[in-house]
Amino acid sequence: MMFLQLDTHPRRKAIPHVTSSSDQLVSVIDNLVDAGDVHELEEDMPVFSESLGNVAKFFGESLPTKNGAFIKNATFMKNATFTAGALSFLSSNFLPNLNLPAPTYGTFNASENWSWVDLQPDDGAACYAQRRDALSSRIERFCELPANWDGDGGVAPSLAAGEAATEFLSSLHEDELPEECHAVGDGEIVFQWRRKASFIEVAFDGPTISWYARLGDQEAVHSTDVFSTDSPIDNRLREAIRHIS
Amino acid sequence: MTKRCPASPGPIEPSESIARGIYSPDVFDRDTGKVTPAAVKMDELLSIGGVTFDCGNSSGVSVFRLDHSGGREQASATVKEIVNRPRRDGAPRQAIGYAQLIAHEIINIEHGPLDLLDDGSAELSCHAVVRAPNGRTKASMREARDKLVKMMNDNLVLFPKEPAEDDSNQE
Repeated sequence: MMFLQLDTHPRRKAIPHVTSSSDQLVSVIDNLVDAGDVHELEEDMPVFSESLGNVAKFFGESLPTKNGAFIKNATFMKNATFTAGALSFLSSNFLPNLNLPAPTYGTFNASENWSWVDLQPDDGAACYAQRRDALSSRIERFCELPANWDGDGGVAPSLAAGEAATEFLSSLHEDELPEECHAVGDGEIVFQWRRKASFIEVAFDGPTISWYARLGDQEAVHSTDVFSTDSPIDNRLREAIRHIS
Repeated sequence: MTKRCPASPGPIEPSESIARGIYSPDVFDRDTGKVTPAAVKMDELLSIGGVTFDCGNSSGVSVFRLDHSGGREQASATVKEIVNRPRRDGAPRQAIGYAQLIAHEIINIEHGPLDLLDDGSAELSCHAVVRAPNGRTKASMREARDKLVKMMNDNLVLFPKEPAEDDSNQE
């Protein structure tokens, strides 16, 4: 019997924290649990049985064969670990209808007997470092955008916005990194986090930080401040990001 | 209620279809298949440069009224005009289509509301603008913008694909 073990993320439950876009994934996992195809070895360590085939079906019309390296640019090796980054890659490239945010959550380990897909060896720290670097690179590119970059009067973010945004990222824990980062044409660099009923957006326009946070049914909080390395991030924002991560 | 601009076909009815042009890569990410927040600039939504009432060019996020004569053509022509503007990297833009929304759903957007004003001109009779009510801040409107973008994602009407140039040569 082949197994896929879903390890506990150090700060989260193994099953992804749901967002409005990952409800479908969780629903499928729940259905697998109900069908007896997913067995919990211990707390927060669910194991998928040969229903891996079912998971594969769920994951892919894009999964052509059991032997296929179906993930572009990512090969999987048994007995290895791929992290949230790999899963997010999978989801964003092959499951557009699910609209799963990147990165997603958790770590997958293949058992010795699991041979039909290969896992790319990775570790959480490397994944998060890559994620942070990718965000920083993206910010740099935003600041290099030309005037009218979007054809509709788009303004590039200023260097000050880029520096503030990068500094803000560096203040975040590895698993607090935003899922989305955009230049939105009015000079802002925007970070977004989403979970099932929660939403956070942080934007930098020059040294100004404008943010909004709503956790579940709680009343939204928002503020506009001047961001500096000498001033701590508003504790309400800090707590909201920590909570949503 | 009366229309605001003489060239507008009339006041905006709650059930009217309203369109926001969508194009890639700037406001539509082809990798994710999603409209990005760039489709709704906060500066436009909040009329950061000052609230104006210049028919055809009023402050706000530009949209078009589809239920009136010329509305679809004006919406399509506007997005295609933007698409044809050059990009520095030379990579072509592509007209994706438009997000087709309902007027009252825009106005009553969650964490809003928003104002929707007819803004017709002689050239663009079906033009309208979406903007935040006076007194709202960028920070307070962020989730309303996010909901509006999501609504656009959920209601995309794609332009038909252009036939390949060499299709006619195929046997």
